[in-house]
Amino acid sequence: MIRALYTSATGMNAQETNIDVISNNLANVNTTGFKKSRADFQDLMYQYVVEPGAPTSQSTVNPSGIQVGLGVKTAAVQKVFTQGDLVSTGNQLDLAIEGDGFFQVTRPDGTLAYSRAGALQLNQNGELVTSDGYLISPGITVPADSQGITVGKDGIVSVKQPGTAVPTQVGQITPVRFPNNGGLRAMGYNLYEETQASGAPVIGIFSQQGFGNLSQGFLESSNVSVVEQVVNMITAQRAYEASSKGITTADEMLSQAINLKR
Amino acid sequence: MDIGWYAAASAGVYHMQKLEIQNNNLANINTVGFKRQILTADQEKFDQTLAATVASDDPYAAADQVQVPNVTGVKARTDFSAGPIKNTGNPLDAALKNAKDFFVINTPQGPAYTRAGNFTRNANGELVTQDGFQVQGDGGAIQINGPGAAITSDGSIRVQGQTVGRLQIVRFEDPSSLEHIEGTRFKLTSGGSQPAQVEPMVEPAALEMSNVSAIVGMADLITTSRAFEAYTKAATAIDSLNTLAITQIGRRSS
Repeated sequence: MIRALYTSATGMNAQETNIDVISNNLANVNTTGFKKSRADFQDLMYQYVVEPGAPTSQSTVNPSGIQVGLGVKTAAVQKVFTQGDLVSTGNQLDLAIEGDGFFQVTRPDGTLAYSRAGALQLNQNGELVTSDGYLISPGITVPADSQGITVGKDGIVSVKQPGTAVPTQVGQITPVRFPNNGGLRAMGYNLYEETQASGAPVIGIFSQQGFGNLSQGFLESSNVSVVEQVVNMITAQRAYEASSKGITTADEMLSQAINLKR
Repeated sequence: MDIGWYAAASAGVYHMQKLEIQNNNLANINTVGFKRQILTADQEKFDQTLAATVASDDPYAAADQVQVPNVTGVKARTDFSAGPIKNTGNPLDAALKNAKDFFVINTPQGPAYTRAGNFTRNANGELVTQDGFQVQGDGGAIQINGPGAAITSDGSIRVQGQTVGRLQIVRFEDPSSLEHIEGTRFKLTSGGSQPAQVEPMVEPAALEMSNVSAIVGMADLITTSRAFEAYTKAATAIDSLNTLAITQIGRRSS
């Protein structure tokens, strides 16, 4: 009997996680380069109340037994790395990846993180940085007297300097990819970190070997669809409600059983 | 004791068990690929319970008490009907079109079968379930290198136009020979007949949701709790009769 209470509690817990994930997705519906998460559920182990093969008479056995499930658990909250819509901004340092790949970002402690958010800026030294001021890796410095910055589909950054007709190449932005994008750890601030589950990063060149194209003057918007998330929110809430009814019912039945003894 | 008392108690225990199973169904109302369980007995009604008897296991029972009423033939079966298919747009999601088909998963305990097609890749690039077990392809594990991998409607996994593997799909003509194990997976009961390998029929970028319906789940909950209430009322009534018998009958007038 107590089992039924705990079973329903696991259901409520799981749906709470689901709502947490959905709320975070909805909060980031306007975040550049944001990738939605999805909570995946699995049933818990089953307990045999009657073993299959238990004798039902001298010559017959129970063919299937009785299994009682013990509820549900959150198996994974995975990031879904589908492409977000590209939005034209006209800003020459806004870069969007159209397809596979991540920007490499050097964090203040010197370690690398990875990002899809290409709203880049220049710092006081003319270096290419993210909106948090983290350096893009490999580092690219734009000379102070540059008149225009061009970023090609392959990530080559060139600048036009006064007095020269031909643009000067100042560096190339290189992307990485992982065997399992879903295994990346989301660090907040639009950054991801390599984990054992993601595998080691593979460095490549934009628009080659399956890497995406780099589009200058565009930003990749969040891949969250409001309609989808709101529908998920409704089902999560109803599932939560259903499990809570399970608890109320179990409680009522327990109380009736206890009241047998007056 | 009155045989009615035993009948009410045994039916009460049966309905508690029923509630446990129904609550597990409700907890998994949002679990991809979940199949609900149904508990049935030979006697679903009280008069049937009263009429049904089993041999008492009390060796000292009096001759008229060797048979006690009991709910018999309690069986849990799994409803393998298909759940609703939801489009997710995630290229590594797959839903099976035939309700008797299953994906094959390699677990340390041997092959397991599942309807939950929410797959992902692990650090080695293999196609795995959300808890990391390999998905069985035609030739062992499915290795995905490179971006843009997608499962297609014939069950093959394509990466940049190249087929890198094909899902192994099996069909159980009689899925009742499957038993639940954790992780929304099933295993073959000992003595169950091996499934046949079939041509995959897959709905790509979609998931089969739980086949638990909220309406049926709630209706079941109400019937179970009301039935339980009725049995406890019956038990209380029998108890009152016994109290009366003990205190009133044979009362000595002083």
